Amino acid sequence: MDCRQIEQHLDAYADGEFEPSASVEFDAHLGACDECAQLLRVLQATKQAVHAQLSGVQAPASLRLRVGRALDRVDGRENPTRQWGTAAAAVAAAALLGVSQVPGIGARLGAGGSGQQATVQAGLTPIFEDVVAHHRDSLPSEVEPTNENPERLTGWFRDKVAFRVAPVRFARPGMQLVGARIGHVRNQRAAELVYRMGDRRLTMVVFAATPELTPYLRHDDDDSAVGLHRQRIGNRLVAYYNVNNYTVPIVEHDGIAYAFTGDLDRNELLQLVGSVKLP
Amino acid sequence: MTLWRAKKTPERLDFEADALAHMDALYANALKLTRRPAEAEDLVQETFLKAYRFHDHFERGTNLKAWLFRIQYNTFVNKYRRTTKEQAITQVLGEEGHGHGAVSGASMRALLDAESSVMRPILAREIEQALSRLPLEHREVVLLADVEQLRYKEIAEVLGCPIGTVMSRLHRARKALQQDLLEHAVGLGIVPDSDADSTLEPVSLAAYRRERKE
Repeated sequence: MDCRQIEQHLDAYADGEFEPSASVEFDAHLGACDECAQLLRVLQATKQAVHAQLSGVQAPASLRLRVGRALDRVDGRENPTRQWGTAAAAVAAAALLGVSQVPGIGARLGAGGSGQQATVQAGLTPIFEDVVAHHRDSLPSEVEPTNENPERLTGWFRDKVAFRVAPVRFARPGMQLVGARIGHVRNQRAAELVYRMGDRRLTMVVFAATPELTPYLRHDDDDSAVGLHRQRIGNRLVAYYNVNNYTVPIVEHDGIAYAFTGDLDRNELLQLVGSVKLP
Repeated sequence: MTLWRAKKTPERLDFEADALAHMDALYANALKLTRRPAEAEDLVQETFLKAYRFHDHFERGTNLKAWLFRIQYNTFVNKYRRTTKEQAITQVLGEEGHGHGAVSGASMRALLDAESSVMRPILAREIEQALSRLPLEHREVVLLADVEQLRYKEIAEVLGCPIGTVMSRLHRARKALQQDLLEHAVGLGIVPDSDADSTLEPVSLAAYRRERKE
Protein backbone atom coordinates (compact mmCIF):
# COMPACT_ATOMS: atom_id res chain seq x y z
CA MET A 1 0.00 0.00 0.00
CA ASP A 2 1.28 3.45 -0.84
CA CYS A 3 0.79 6.65 1.12
CA ARG A 4 -2.15 7.75 -0.99
CA GLN A 5 -4.07 4.52 -0.38
CA ILE A 6 -3.25 4.66 3.31
CA GLU A 7 -4.41 8.25 3.54
CA GLN A 8 -7.71 7.49 1.82
CA HIS A 9 -8.52 4.72 4.27
CA LEU A 10 -7.05 6.31 7.33
CA ASP A 11 -10.46 7.41 8.60
CA ALA A 12 -11.81 3.86 8.57
CA TYR A 13 -8.64 2.71 10.33
CA ALA A 14 -8.90 5.40 13.02
CA ASP A 15 -12.63 4.74 13.44
CA GLY A 16 -11.93 1.07 14.14
CA GLU A 17 -13.83 -0.12 11.09
CA PHE A 18 -11.17 -2.58 9.96
CA GLU A 19 -10.85 -6.16 11.05
CA PRO A 20 -7.62 -6.68 13.00
CA SER A 21 -6.32 -8.81 10.12
CA ALA A 22 -6.84 -5.96 7.67
CA SER A 23 -5.08 -3.52 9.99
CA VAL A 24 -1.77 -5.33 9.76
CA GLU A 25 -0.77 -3.64 6.51
CA PHE A 26 -1.69 -0.29 7.99
CA ASP A 27 0.28 -0.90 11.15
CA ALA A 28 3.35 -1.81 9.10
CA HIS A 29 3.11 1.27 6.89
CA LEU A 30 2.42 3.65 9.77
CA GLY A 31 5.39 2.26 11.68
CA ALA A 32 7.68 3.12 8.80
CA CYS A 33 6.18 6.35 7.37
CA ASP A 34 6.39 9.51 9.48
CA GLU A 35 4.21 11.49 7.13
CA CYS A 36 1.28 9.06 7.40
CA ALA A 37 1.82 8.60 11.12
CA GLN A 38 1.56 12.36 11.46
CA LEU A 39 -1.71 12.39 9.54
CA LEU A 40 -3.05 9.69 11.83
CA ARG A 41 -2.12 11.68 14.94
CA VAL A 42 -3.88 14.76 13.56
CA LEU A 43 -6.91 12.67 12.67
CA GLN A 44 -7.08 11.15 16.13
CA ALA A 45 -6.65 14.56 17.73
CA THR A 46 -9.45 15.94 15.54
CA LYS A 47 -11.80 13.10 16.44
CA GLN A 48 -11.00 13.48 20.09
CA ALA A 49 -11.47 17.26 20.01
CA VAL A 50 -14.82 17.01 18.22
CA HIS A 51 -15.98 14.53 20.83
CA ALA A 52 -14.72 16.61 23.74
CA GLN A 53 -16.21 19.86 22.43
CA LEU A 54 -19.61 18.59 21.39
CA SER A 55 -20.66 15.73 23.61
CA GLY A 56 -22.30 15.85 27.02
CA VAL A 57 -25.27 18.00 26.00
CA GLN A 58 -28.37 17.29 28.09
CA ALA A 59 -31.93 17.75 26.99
CA PRO A 60 -33.78 20.25 29.19
CA ALA A 61 -36.15 18.74 31.75
CA SER A 62 -39.01 20.71 30.22
CA LEU A 63 -38.49 18.82 26.96
CA ARG A 64 -38.89 15.49 28.76
CA LEU A 65 -42.20 16.71 30.14
CA ARG A 66 -43.35 17.91 26.75
CA VAL A 67 -42.50 14.65 25.04
CA GLY A 68 -44.25 12.70 27.80
CA ARG A 69 -47.39 14.76 27.37
CA ALA A 70 -47.25 14.43 23.61
CA LEU A 71 -47.09 10.64 23.96
CA ASP A 72 -50.05 10.79 26.34
CA ARG A 73 -52.04 12.45 23.58
CA VAL A 74 -51.17 9.67 21.17
CA ASP A 75 -52.23 7.09 23.76
CA GLY A 76 -55.59 8.79 24.19
CA ARG A 77 -57.10 7.32 21.04
CA GLU A 78 -60.33 9.26 21.16
CA ASN A 79 -58.34 12.49 21.14
CA PRO A 80 -59.15 14.82 18.24
CA THR A 81 -55.44 15.63 17.78
CA ARG A 82 -55.06 12.54 15.64
CA GLN A 83 -57.66 13.88 13.23
CA TRP A 84 -55.86 17.18 13.18
CA GLY A 85 -52.75 15.35 12.09
CA THR A 86 -54.62 14.05 9.09
CA ALA A 87 -56.08 17.44 8.31
CA ALA A 88 -52.64 19.01 8.61
CA ALA A 89 -51.16 16.44 6.28
CA ALA A 90 -53.82 17.30 3.72
CA VAL A 91 -53.08 21.00 4.06
CA ALA A 92 -49.34 20.41 3.76
CA ALA A 93 -49.82 18.16 0.74
CA ALA A 94 -52.06 20.73 -0.90
CA ALA A 95 -49.46 23.43 -0.24
CA LEU A 96 -46.69 21.27 -1.68
CA LEU A 97 -48.65 20.46 -4.79
CA GLY A 98 -49.72 24.03 -5.19
CA VAL A 99 -53.34 22.99 -5.15
CA SER A 100 -55.39 26.14 -4.97
CA GLN A 101 -58.87 24.82 -5.57
CA VAL A 102 -59.15 22.78 -2.39
CA PRO A 103 -62.08 24.40 -0.59
CA GLY A 104 -61.50 25.55 2.95
CA ILE A 105 -57.75 25.18 2.84
CA GLY A 106 -55.82 28.34 3.31
CA ALA A 107 -56.47 31.58 1.52
CA ARG A 108 -54.63 31.62 -1.76
CA LEU A 109 -53.29 34.97 -2.70
CA GLY A 110 -51.50 36.56 -5.59
CA ALA A 111 -47.75 36.81 -5.18
CA GLY A 112 -46.81 40.34 -4.21
CA GLY A 113 -43.71 42.37 -3.47
CA SER A 114 -41.24 44.11 -5.69
CA GLY A 115 -37.47 44.05 -5.31
CA GLN A 116 -37.39 47.24 -3.22
CA GLN A 117 -39.73 45.79 -0.65
CA ALA A 118 -37.90 42.54 -0.39
CA THR A 119 -35.31 43.70 2.16
CA VAL A 120 -37.78 45.09 4.67
CA GLN A 121 -40.11 42.20 4.11
CA ALA A 122 -37.35 39.73 4.84
CA GLY A 123 -37.35 40.94 8.45
CA LEU A 124 -41.04 40.31 9.03
CA THR A 125 -41.60 37.23 6.90
CA PRO A 126 -39.95 34.70 9.26
CA ILE A 127 -42.25 35.78 12.09
CA PHE A 128 -45.31 34.99 10.01
CA GLU A 129 -43.79 31.85 8.58
CA ASP A 130 -43.43 30.59 12.14
CA VAL A 131 -47.10 31.32 12.80
CA VAL A 132 -48.15 29.44 9.67
CA ALA A 133 -45.88 26.53 10.54
CA HIS A 134 -47.74 26.09 13.84
CA HIS A 135 -51.01 25.82 12.02
CA ARG A 136 -49.71 23.55 9.30
CA ASP A 137 -47.80 21.18 11.58
CA SER A 138 -50.71 20.86 13.99
CA LEU A 139 -48.69 19.11 16.66
CA PRO A 140 -50.74 17.48 19.41
CA SER A 141 -51.94 19.84 22.10
CA GLU A 142 -50.35 19.76 25.53
CA VAL A 143 -53.32 21.04 27.46
CA GLU A 144 -56.99 20.87 26.58
CA PRO A 145 -58.99 23.75 27.96
CA THR A 146 -62.51 24.48 26.83
CA ASN A 147 -64.57 27.63 26.50
CA GLU A 148 -66.05 26.77 29.90
CA ASN A 149 -62.82 26.55 31.90
CA PRO A 150 -60.44 29.13 30.44
CA GLU A 151 -58.62 29.47 33.78
CA ARG A 152 -57.10 26.04 33.17
CA LEU A 153 -55.34 27.48 30.15
CA THR A 154 -54.03 30.53 32.00
CA GLY A 155 -52.75 28.35 34.83
CA TRP A 156 -51.01 25.94 32.51
CA PHE A 157 -49.11 28.68 30.71
CA ARG A 158 -48.26 30.64 33.87
CA ASP A 159 -44.77 29.24 34.42
CA LYS A 160 -44.07 28.62 30.75
CA VAL A 161 -44.31 31.96 29.02
CA ALA A 162 -43.49 35.47 30.26
CA PHE A 163 -46.97 36.87 29.61
CA ARG A 164 -50.49 36.02 30.67
CA VAL A 165 -52.34 33.75 28.30
CA ALA A 166 -56.11 33.69 28.17
CA PRO A 167 -58.52 32.71 25.43
CA VAL A 168 -59.87 35.41 23.16
CA ARG A 169 -63.57 35.72 22.40
CA PHE A 170 -64.97 35.74 18.92
CA ALA A 171 -68.26 37.35 17.96
CA ARG A 172 -69.00 34.39 15.73
CA PRO A 173 -70.80 31.56 17.53
CA GLY A 174 -69.52 27.99 17.48
CA MET A 175 -65.84 28.76 17.99
CA GLN A 176 -64.70 26.00 20.30
CA LEU A 177 -61.34 26.24 22.07
CA VAL A 178 -59.95 22.70 21.87
CA GLY A 179 -56.26 22.74 22.66
CA ALA A 180 -53.07 24.64 23.35
CA ARG A 181 -49.36 24.04 23.44
CA ILE A 182 -46.03 25.80 23.73
CA GLY A 183 -44.79 27.06 20.42
CA HIS A 184 -42.02 29.31 19.19
CA VAL A 185 -41.85 32.47 17.15
CA ARG A 186 -38.34 33.45 16.17
CA ASN A 187 -36.78 31.45 18.95
CA GLN A 188 -39.01 32.96 21.61
CA ARG A 189 -41.61 30.97 23.43
CA ALA A 190 -45.14 31.51 22.27
CA ALA A 191 -48.56 30.17 23.22
CA GLU A 192 -50.43 28.32 20.53
CA LEU A 193 -54.20 28.03 20.94
CA VAL A 194 -56.38 25.98 18.63
CA TYR A 195 -60.04 26.67 17.98
CA ARG A 196 -62.40 24.58 15.93
CA MET A 197 -65.46 25.59 14.01
CA GLY A 198 -67.10 22.44 12.70
CA ASP A 199 -64.38 20.57 10.83
CA ARG A 200 -62.13 23.58 10.35
CA ARG A 201 -59.29 24.79 12.53
CA LEU A 202 -58.14 28.22 13.54
CA THR A 203 -54.72 28.61 15.13
CA MET A 204 -53.89 31.61 17.29
CA VAL A 205 -50.27 32.24 18.23
CA VAL A 206 -49.62 34.63 21.11
CA PHE A 207 -46.13 36.04 21.58
CA ALA A 208 -44.29 39.07 22.89
CA ALA A 209 -44.26 41.45 19.93
CA THR A 210 -40.73 41.72 18.57
CA PRO A 211 -39.08 45.15 18.19
CA GLU A 212 -39.15 44.94 14.38
CA LEU A 213 -42.85 44.18 14.41
CA THR A 214 -44.22 46.51 17.09
CA PRO A 215 -43.91 49.83 15.18
CA TYR A 216 -46.01 48.47 12.34
CA LEU A 217 -48.78 47.36 14.64
CA ARG A 218 -49.10 50.62 16.54
CA HIS A 219 -50.29 52.87 13.77
CA ASP A 220 -52.73 52.67 10.91
CA ASP A 221 -50.58 53.98 8.06
CA ASP A 222 -50.12 52.11 4.85
CA ASP A 223 -47.44 49.46 5.38
CA SER A 224 -48.18 47.40 2.30
CA ALA A 225 -44.64 48.20 1.13
CA VAL A 226 -43.32 45.86 3.85
CA GLY A 227 -45.98 43.27 3.18
CA LEU A 228 -48.35 44.27 5.96
CA HIS A 229 -51.79 45.04 4.56
CA ARG A 230 -54.83 46.49 6.27
CA GLN A 231 -58.48 46.05 5.67
CA ARG A 232 -61.37 47.83 7.31
CA ILE A 233 -63.69 45.48 9.17
CA GLY A 234 -66.56 47.40 10.77
CA ASN A 235 -64.84 50.32 12.48
CA ARG A 236 -61.49 48.55 12.88
CA LEU A 237 -58.50 48.31 10.58
CA VAL A 238 -57.17 44.77 10.69
CA ALA A 239 -53.52 44.25 9.74
CA TYR A 240 -52.61 41.06 7.95
CA TYR A 241 -49.64 39.47 6.27
CA ASN A 242 -49.62 37.00 3.39
CA VAL A 243 -47.13 34.17 3.58
CA ASN A 244 -46.92 30.67 2.08
CA ASN A 245 -50.44 31.05 0.68
CA TYR A 246 -51.87 31.80 4.10
CA THR A 247 -53.35 35.04 5.34
CA VAL A 248 -52.18 35.91 8.84
CA PRO A 249 -54.14 38.71 10.55
CA ILE A 250 -52.36 40.16 13.57
CA VAL A 251 -53.40 42.42 16.42
CA GLU A 252 -51.30 43.84 19.20
CA HIS A 253 -52.27 44.78 22.73
CA ASP A 254 -49.97 45.82 25.54
CA GLY A 255 -46.86 44.50 23.79
CA ILE A 256 -48.39 41.12 23.10
CA ALA A 257 -49.08 40.08 19.53
CA TYR A 258 -52.00 37.81 18.57
CA ALA A 259 -51.57 36.25 15.15
CA PHE A 260 -54.19 34.05 13.51
CA THR A 261 -54.38 31.69 10.65
CA GLY A 262 -56.71 28.91 9.67
CA ASP A 263 -58.58 26.89 7.14
CA LEU A 264 -60.72 29.85 6.13
CA ASP A 265 -60.67 32.20 3.20
CA ARG A 266 -59.17 35.61 3.71
CA ASN A 267 -62.39 37.51 4.09
CA GLU A 268 -63.85 35.09 6.58
CA LEU A 269 -60.64 35.18 8.60
CA LEU A 270 -60.46 38.98 8.62
CA GLN A 271 -64.12 39.21 9.68
CA LEU A 272 -63.41 36.84 12.52
CA VAL A 273 -60.35 38.71 13.74
CA GLY A 274 -62.03 42.08 13.24
CA SER A 275 -64.57 41.14 15.89
CA VAL A 276 -62.20 39.48 18.34
CA LYS A 277 -62.21 40.49 22.02
CA LEU A 278 -58.72 40.26 23.46
CA PRO A 279 -58.32 39.16 27.09
CA MET B 1 -39.21 10.55 37.22
CA THR B 2 -42.44 11.86 35.86
CA LEU B 3 -45.77 11.17 37.47
CA TRP B 4 -48.39 9.92 35.08
CA ARG B 5 -52.05 10.15 35.66
CA ALA B 6 -53.17 7.31 33.46
CA LYS B 7 -51.90 3.76 33.51
CA LYS B 8 -49.44 3.18 30.73
CA THR B 9 -49.58 0.39 28.21
CA PRO B 10 -46.67 -2.09 28.08
CA GLU B 11 -45.82 -0.66 24.65
CA ARG B 12 -45.55 2.80 26.11
CA LEU B 13 -43.35 1.59 28.96
CA ASP B 14 -41.06 -0.21 26.51
CA PHE B 15 -40.85 2.87 24.35
CA GLU B 16 -39.93 5.04 27.31
CA ALA B 17 -37.29 2.63 28.52
CA ASP B 18 -35.70 2.11 25.11
CA ALA B 19 -36.31 5.17 22.96
CA LEU B 20 -36.48 8.02 25.46
CA ALA B 21 -33.06 6.95 26.74
CA HIS B 22 -31.66 8.57 23.58
CA MET B 23 -33.21 11.97 24.20
CA ASP B 24 -29.97 13.71 25.21
CA ALA B 25 -28.23 12.48 22.07
CA LEU B 26 -31.14 13.44 19.82
CA TYR B 27 -31.41 16.86 21.41
CA ALA B 28 -27.65 17.48 21.03
CA ASN B 29 -27.88 16.53 17.37
CA ALA B 30 -31.04 18.58 16.82
CA LEU B 31 -29.25 21.61 18.26
CA LYS B 32 -26.50 21.21 15.70
CA LEU B 33 -29.00 20.78 12.89
CA THR B 34 -31.36 23.63 13.73
CA ARG B 35 -28.91 25.89 15.62
CA ARG B 36 -31.79 27.11 17.79
CA PRO B 37 -32.78 25.52 21.11
CA ALA B 38 -36.46 26.18 20.51
CA GLU B 39 -36.49 24.51 17.12
CA ALA B 40 -34.33 21.69 18.44
CA GLU B 41 -36.96 20.98 21.09
CA ASP B 42 -39.71 20.91 18.48
CA LEU B 43 -37.66 18.61 16.28
CA VAL B 44 -36.98 16.15 19.09
CA GLN B 45 -40.62 16.08 20.11
CA GLU B 46 -41.67 15.43 16.54
CA THR B 47 -39.05 12.70 16.21
CA PHE B 48 -40.36 10.85 19.26
CA LEU B 49 -43.96 11.26 18.16
CA LYS B 50 -43.19 9.75 14.79
CA ALA B 51 -41.15 6.97 16.34
CA TYR B 52 -43.96 6.19 18.76
CA ARG B 53 -46.63 6.17 16.07
CA PHE B 54 -44.56 4.01 13.77
CA HIS B 55 -42.72 1.87 16.28
CA ASP B 56 -44.25 -1.28 14.79
CA HIS B 57 -42.13 -0.47 11.71
CA PHE B 58 -38.99 -0.76 13.76
CA GLU B 59 -37.25 -4.09 13.31
CA ARG B 60 -36.36 -5.62 16.63
CA GLY B 61 -32.69 -6.43 16.91
CA THR B 62 -31.60 -3.56 14.68
CA ASN B 63 -30.15 -0.39 16.11
CA LEU B 64 -32.82 1.74 17.77
CA LYS B 65 -30.55 4.75 18.14
CA ALA B 66 -29.74 4.75 14.42
CA TRP B 67 -33.45 4.41 13.62
CA LEU B 68 -34.32 7.41 15.81
CA PHE B 69 -31.53 9.46 14.28
CA ARG B 70 -32.79 8.54 10.85
CA ILE B 71 -36.30 9.75 11.66
CA GLN B 72 -34.90 12.97 13.07
CA TYR B 73 -32.58 13.61 10.14
CA ASN B 74 -35.33 12.98 7.58
CA THR B 75 -37.78 15.14 9.49
CA PHE B 76 -35.24 17.93 9.60
CA VAL B 77 -34.32 17.66 5.95
CA ASN B 78 -37.94 17.52 4.80
CA LYS B 79 -39.12 20.30 7.01
CA TYR B 80 -36.34 22.79 7.29
CA ARG B 81 -34.61 22.51 3.97
CA ARG B 82 -35.85 25.72 2.42
CA THR B 83 -35.70 24.98 -1.28
CA THR B 84 -34.42 22.16 -3.41
CA LYS B 85 -32.22 24.73 -5.14
CA GLU B 86 -30.40 25.51 -1.91
CA GLN B 87 -29.82 21.82 -1.33
CA ALA B 88 -28.43 21.32 -4.80
CA ILE B 89 -25.84 24.02 -4.09
CA THR B 90 -24.91 22.32 -0.84
CA GLN B 91 -24.41 19.04 -2.63
CA VAL B 92 -22.20 20.54 -5.29
CA LEU B 93 -20.08 22.18 -2.62
CA GLY B 94 -20.04 18.96 -0.68
CA GLU B 95 -18.84 16.79 -3.50
CA GLU B 96 -16.47 19.20 -5.24
CA GLY B 97 -15.45 21.65 -2.59
CA HIS B 98 -12.66 19.77 -0.88
CA GLY B 99 -9.98 17.68 -2.47
CA HIS B 100 -8.13 14.69 -1.13
CA GLY B 101 -5.07 15.24 1.00
CA ALA B 102 -4.89 18.97 0.39
CA VAL B 103 -2.57 19.45 3.34
CA SER B 104 0.39 17.31 4.28
CA GLY B 105 0.86 15.63 7.59
CA ALA B 106 3.78 17.94 8.29
CA SER B 107 1.67 21.07 7.86
CA MET B 108 -1.16 19.52 9.83
CA ARG B 109 1.19 19.11 12.75
CA ALA B 110 0.56 22.80 13.39
CA LEU B 111 -2.89 21.83 14.69
CA LEU B 112 -1.40 19.81 17.51
CA ASP B 113 0.02 20.86 20.78
CA ALA B 114 3.82 20.78 20.58
CA GLU B 115 4.29 18.54 23.60
CA SER B 116 1.39 16.13 23.32
CA SER B 117 -0.64 14.71 20.49
CA VAL B 118 -3.85 16.56 21.32
CA MET B 119 -5.25 19.47 19.40
CA ARG B 120 -4.14 22.92 20.55
CA PRO B 121 -6.92 24.07 22.92
CA ILE B 122 -7.19 27.43 21.17
CA LEU B 123 -8.12 25.56 17.98
CA ALA B 124 -10.28 22.93 19.63
CA ARG B 125 -12.52 25.73 20.89
CA GLU B 126 -13.14 26.71 17.25
CA ILE B 127 -14.36 23.27 16.25
CA GLU B 128 -18.03 24.00 16.66
CA GLN B 129 -17.73 27.08 14.46
CA ALA B 130 -15.71 25.22 11.85
CA LEU B 131 -18.24 22.41 11.81
CA SER B 132 -21.11 24.82 11.31
CA ARG B 133 -19.44 26.00 8.11
CA LEU B 134 -19.54 22.52 6.59
CA PRO B 135 -22.43 21.53 4.32
CA LEU B 136 -25.21 19.72 6.20
CA GLU B 137 -24.38 16.24 4.84
CA HIS B 138 -20.75 16.59 5.92
CA ARG B 139 -21.48 18.10 9.31
CA GLU B 140 -23.92 15.34 10.15
CA VAL B 141 -21.53 12.54 9.23
CA VAL B 142 -18.84 13.94 11.57
CA LEU B 143 -21.33 14.35 14.40
CA LEU B 144 -22.63 10.81 14.00
CA ALA B 145 -19.15 9.31 13.85
CA ASP B 146 -17.32 11.33 16.49
CA VAL B 147 -19.98 12.59 18.89
CA GLU B 148 -22.43 9.69 18.74
CA GLN B 149 -19.71 7.18 17.84
CA LEU B 150 -21.95 5.24 15.49
CA ARG B 151 -20.49 2.57 13.20
CA TYR B 152 -20.30 3.35 9.48
CA LYS B 153 -23.10 0.86 8.86
CA GLU B 154 -25.34 2.74 11.29
CA ILE B 155 -24.43 6.12 9.83
CA ALA B 156 -25.35 4.78 6.39
CA GLU B 157 -28.74 3.78 7.84
CA VAL B 158 -29.30 7.21 9.35
CA LEU B 159 -28.42 9.09 6.20
CA GLY B 160 -29.93 6.55 3.83
CA CYS B 161 -26.79 6.25 1.73
CA PRO B 162 -24.19 3.53 0.95
CA ILE B 163 -21.28 2.94 3.34
CA GLY B 164 -18.89 4.10 0.62
CA THR B 165 -20.61 7.49 0.63
CA VAL B 166 -20.27 7.68 4.39
CA MET B 167 -16.53 7.03 4.07
CA SER B 168 -15.91 9.62 1.38
CA ARG B 169 -18.04 12.25 3.11
CA LEU B 170 -16.30 11.64 6.40
CA HIS B 171 -12.88 11.88 4.79
CA ARG B 172 -13.72 15.11 3.00
CA ALA B 173 -15.47 16.59 6.01
CA ARG B 174 -12.55 15.99 8.35
CA LYS B 175 -10.08 17.35 5.80
CA ALA B 176 -12.19 20.46 5.39
CA LEU B 177 -12.46 20.81 9.16
CA GLN B 178 -8.70 20.53 9.58
CA GLN B 179 -8.07 22.96 6.75
CA ASP B 180 -10.47 25.45 8.32
CA LEU B 181 -8.76 25.13 11.71
CA LEU B 182 -5.36 25.53 10.11
CA GLU B 183 -6.48 28.72 8.41
CA HIS B 184 -7.75 29.90 11.76
CA ALA B 185 -4.35 29.12 13.27
CA VAL B 186 -2.71 31.21 10.54
CA GLY B 187 -5.17 34.00 11.27
CA LEU B 188 -4.18 33.89 14.92
CA GLY B 189 -0.54 34.05 13.91
CA ILE B 190 0.39 30.83 15.68
CA VAL B 191 1.29 29.15 12.40
CA PRO B 192 3.23 30.73 9.54
CA ASP B 193 1.21 31.32 6.39
CA SER B 194 3.08 28.83 4.26
CA ASP B 195 1.97 25.91 6.42
CA ALA B 196 -1.66 26.39 5.48
CA ASP B 197 -0.98 26.71 1.78
CA SER B 198 -1.26 23.32 0.18
CA THR B 199 0.48 24.49 -2.99
CA LEU B 200 3.63 24.93 -0.93
CA GLU B 201 3.49 21.39 0.32
CA PRO B 202 6.86 20.28 -1.18
CA VAL B 203 8.52 23.23 0.54
CA SER B 204 7.09 22.46 3.93
CA LEU B 205 7.89 18.81 3.42
CA ALA B 206 11.48 19.75 2.69
CA ALA B 207 11.52 21.89 5.81
CA TYR B 208 10.18 18.96 7.72
CA ARG B 209 12.94 16.66 6.44
CA ARG B 210 15.60 19.26 7.27
CA GLU B 211 14.19 19.48 10.73
CA ARG B 212 14.46 15.75 11.16
CA LYS B 213 18.14 15.74 10.17
CA GLU B 214 18.99 18.31 12.79
